[in-house]
Amino acid sequence: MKQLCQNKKIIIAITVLLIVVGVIVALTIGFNVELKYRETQRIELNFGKEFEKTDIKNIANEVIGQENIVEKINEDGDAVAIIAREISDEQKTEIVNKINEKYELELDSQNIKINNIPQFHIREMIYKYVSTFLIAGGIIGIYLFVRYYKIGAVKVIGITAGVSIATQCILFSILAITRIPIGKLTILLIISVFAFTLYGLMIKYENDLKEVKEVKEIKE
Amino acid sequence: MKKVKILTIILFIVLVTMVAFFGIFVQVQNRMENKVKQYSYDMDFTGGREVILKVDDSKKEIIKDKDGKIIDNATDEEIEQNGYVKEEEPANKEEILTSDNYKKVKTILDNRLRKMDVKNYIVRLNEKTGQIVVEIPENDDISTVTSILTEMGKFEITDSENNEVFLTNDDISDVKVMYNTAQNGTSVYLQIEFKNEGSKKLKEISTNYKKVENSTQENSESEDTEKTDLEASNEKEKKIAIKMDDEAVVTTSFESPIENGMIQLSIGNATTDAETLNGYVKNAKAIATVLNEEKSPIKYQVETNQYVESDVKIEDLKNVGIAVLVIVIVALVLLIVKYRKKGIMSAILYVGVASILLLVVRYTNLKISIGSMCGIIVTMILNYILTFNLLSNIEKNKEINKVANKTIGDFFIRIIPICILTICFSFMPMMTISGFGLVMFWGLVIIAIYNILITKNVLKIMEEK
Repeated sequence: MKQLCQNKKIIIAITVLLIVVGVIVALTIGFNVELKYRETQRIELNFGKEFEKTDIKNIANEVIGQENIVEKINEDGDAVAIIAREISDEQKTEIVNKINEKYELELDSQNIKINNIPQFHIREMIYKYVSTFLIAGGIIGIYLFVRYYKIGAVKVIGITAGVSIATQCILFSILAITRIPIGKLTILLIISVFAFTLYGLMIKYENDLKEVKEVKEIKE
Repeated sequence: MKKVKILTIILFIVLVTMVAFFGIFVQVQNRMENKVKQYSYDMDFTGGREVILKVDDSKKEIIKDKDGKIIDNATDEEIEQNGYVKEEEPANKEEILTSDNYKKVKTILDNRLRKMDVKNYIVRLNEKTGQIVVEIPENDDISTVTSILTEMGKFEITDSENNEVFLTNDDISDVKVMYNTAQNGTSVYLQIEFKNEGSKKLKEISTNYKKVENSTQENSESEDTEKTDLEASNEKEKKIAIKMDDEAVVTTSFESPIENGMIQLSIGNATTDAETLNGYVKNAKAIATVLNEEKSPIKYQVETNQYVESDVKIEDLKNVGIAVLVIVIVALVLLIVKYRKKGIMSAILYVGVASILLLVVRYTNLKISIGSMCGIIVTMILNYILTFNLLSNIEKNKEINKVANKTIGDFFIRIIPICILTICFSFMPMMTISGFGLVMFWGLVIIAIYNILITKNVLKIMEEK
């Protein structure tokens, strides 16, 4: 019993430490948002003929660094957009020269404009889900209240809310500390963690309910 | 008999798996054609359209009279004779180009896209320059959707002659798309409903701008020619103009005073062709969406409108598939090691669930997106948990029927909150999460039916002596 209590304390201590470090990292450095959603700069190059995306990616990696996106544009697929946090005029010229050399083109870097693409706030994406989460949370709350009133409905709802928030805090702390990029997958990760947290809690509640019923039967 | 039953079930599962993973190929002319419905992919894999909007910086030449009133048309001679003045008016005045107005336009576009049921869209705003970047999935509606991005949504009913404004956006309470089916086909029209004040105003103008009846008929009667010409000039028909974004879409007069505060605008002609009708409905819906929203304070123009390929390719899915397959194989090997014969059978049955789910995804037109792939993975994890529980409980108690029913029942009681989440997510407009919800919904239905009908009975057959 003592060992069990000590293990529990260690787990709680690690969890609290993880959350504290996560909060500090999130507040100081922030989350590592996917490049796609950041404020970026972009250049577009029209080849007018077929090209290999990997060639352009290699050139972009060489000139700008690894953090870039290369995507084909236009239905014909004969143009490309290179996106990075910042693209200087020198980098633009270097990319154009290397592409000209590789594909025997005569693109003029003077005619290629560096476009600024505004950021997409991740919070905007999350706002869209708030109402659904609230509706789902409300219905789950009612269900928990009805099913587990014998083991203390308010306690059950309180534990569910607390544990769900705690697991989400842990998840965000891990994301902040490990610098895993935040993007489209994050929302699915949040949902999956939430779903399995609920499943774990339901196993506990069902066992508690079973115990209460057994005790009642014995008493009777 | 027991062996025959088990072999039949195994063969059935192998067959379903082959169909789900490889398809059914039939020779059509000189080539082999897969008869199994292909997967449809979402913007995550197929790419989408990117529309960059910039604040309209064009200037329009206008002619004003001495009192500063705008004149529609005037020749150079008329300008000189009447002392009119030519001026250049910017599409957007300097004072309205504020960060607050840019944000307002972004909110309006967001609402318009949501009401047009556009899934998975993204709207970005540069608060300094007002530049807006909209990303939308590439589909058949793309031209209709892009059209609502640049419209200001300014609505006016004016006098066609002197441009006196009677009704504006502020008077509209609702705009609906309506249908009317007659012998010559179905016609689509917009029903514009006005607020109380607007309704009174509409009644007033529909009384004042009444159609002059029989004027043409009277003109044709030779005996009354002189009298009719006189009447026609006296009762010259006054008309109103219904304007959208300062362009007159209809110039008309009223047959009788409008008492109910509604006007109907016909979109296209009556048709029996489904495709044409669909086009009219889309146009009408786009106009209704724009008018039901606040009018945009700033005029925008399209800078670029181009297709952008996804940075995740369908081929990349294969790599994800291989990674998932490795994890599944490891999990199934664990099951086989722990439960031997029953483990092998459960592993085969488990593959059956995955195959049926993939076939359902194909035939229910669910789009393969990152969300739906996560849905498939979560469903398979849940099915693994159920299979594991089932085998573990059967080991403890040999009354298969009773144990299986209880295990499956207990499992579904435990996942009721997940089922609630699944149903709520299925109705979400955003594809990422609705794809997840819809796949999970079908997955849970398959898990329930499959385990009750097949898994339970197979395990029962295996226990038979």
